[in-house]
Amino acid sequence: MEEAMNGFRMKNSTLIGTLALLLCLGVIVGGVWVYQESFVDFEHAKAVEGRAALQSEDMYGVETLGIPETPTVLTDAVSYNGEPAEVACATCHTTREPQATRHSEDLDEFHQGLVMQHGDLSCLSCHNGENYDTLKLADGTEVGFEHTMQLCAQCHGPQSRDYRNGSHGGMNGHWDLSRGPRQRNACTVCHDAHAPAYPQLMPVFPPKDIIPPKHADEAQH
Amino acid sequence: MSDPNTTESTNGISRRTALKGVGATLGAAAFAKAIAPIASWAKDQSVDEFLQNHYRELSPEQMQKVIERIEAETKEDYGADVTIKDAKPQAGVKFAYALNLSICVGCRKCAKACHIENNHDRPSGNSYIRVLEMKKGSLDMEHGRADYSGPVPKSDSFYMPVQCQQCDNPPCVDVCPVEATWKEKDGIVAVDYNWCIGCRYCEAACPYHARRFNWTKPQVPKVEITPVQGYLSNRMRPQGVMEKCTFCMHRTREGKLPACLEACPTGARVFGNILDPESEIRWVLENKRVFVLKEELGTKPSFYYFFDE
Repeated sequence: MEEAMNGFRMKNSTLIGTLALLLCLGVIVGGVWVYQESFVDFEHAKAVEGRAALQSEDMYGVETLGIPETPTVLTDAVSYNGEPAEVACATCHTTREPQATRHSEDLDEFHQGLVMQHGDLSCLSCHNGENYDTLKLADGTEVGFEHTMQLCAQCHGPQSRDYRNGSHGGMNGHWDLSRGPRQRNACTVCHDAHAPAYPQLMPVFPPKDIIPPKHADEAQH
Repeated sequence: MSDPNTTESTNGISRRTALKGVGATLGAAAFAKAIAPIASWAKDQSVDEFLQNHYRELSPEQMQKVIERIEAETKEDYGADVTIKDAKPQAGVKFAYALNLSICVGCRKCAKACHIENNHDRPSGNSYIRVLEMKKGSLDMEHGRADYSGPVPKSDSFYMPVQCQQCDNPPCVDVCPVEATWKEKDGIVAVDYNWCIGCRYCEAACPYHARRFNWTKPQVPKVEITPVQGYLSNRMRPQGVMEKCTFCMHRTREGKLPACLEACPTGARVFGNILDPESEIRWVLENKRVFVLKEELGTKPSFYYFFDE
């Protein structure tokens, strides 16, 4: 009888032991599952096939708005079809000596009101004294007005680098160029080439105090 | 006459019956008072809306019905024809935002663009973005002023726009008692406006003061309503629910830039897919000394700030 009881006790304890083991196993398996589940979102986001699909599509371009054109000067004269006549810079400048001045006050014929606040630069630092319809780089290379940004980049390297990498200058359009184009501003859209400091401005849209409604009939949440 | 057995026949109503009657009347009155809110609730909430399931448990067909109902409600309440979409996260995309504090001028155009794009309540001037004017030399955002005026930028200040940081470990999600807010697969912390109970725990939990409460039903003139709307983003919110910046989910999940970035005149804002090694945001993270707000809290923001060197 006692042996039988012993046998039963042993069986009983084995059963409890097995159950406890199974429980532990269950907890471990469950824990591993929960742990892996917590990375599902991350794995999903990292999925290579999704990214490959995005990149394989046709890419739209980035358009730069406001690139300067070769400037002209409006005159009082009227052309044969009645429109105000515009003349090229060279029209006047071919008959005049280039002046390496820093201040528009030094000029007696034209450009007197021009505000020049751009470091120690003189007119001829950027304008090409040999052909005023073009600009020139620091090494004397002639460049057209459409390459103004290249000219700016000579001195403003960090800004140019940031611009080229999308972290300087406003933009519009799409972050995802596989889904749509993007428009960017040229330097001179925001910075006046002759006085390039970004001006102070008045802030818009001041915050208002939020005053909760006092009447109970309006608050129905 | 004082025999208790004869009282009933003489008075007609026993004390017990009278008490029962009084009790029943009071009970009925209390019940009527208790269910009174249901009567007033029924005026502006349909049964369909009341029975609507959680966003993440809606089947596509149910979602379609919900969207149609909300479009009809917007037409009825605001007179505007709107299109509500439920754009899903794209595979391989996790959004991140960076902001260059060296070139932000504090013009608050981003806050205004947010106000318009996200159909915010006009009288309260709500916006998901709060621009803080901070004195140079300190990064303590608790000392930033949002109510600055006058020409900006001032020489002794820098300007720090703060909006939802789309934390990877968001405290607002942890505290929500009804799971009305959660983290989407592209990193956006979303709110189901129809599931939110308006307890404002999330507002209290957010260390960036990024969440807003709809104290009233948003008032927006018909002509000013942005008609392209997202279910989880800029659709018209009901009264009494929380809302927050979604990185303009209805735009960014279609590949577009957020409204605040497009409004920025200086290009202080950089947005993109942090999983794309060629993206602008990755260039910023790899080449600029970025930092996050209140890093010590362990919220792991997806919003980075940096200064130019």
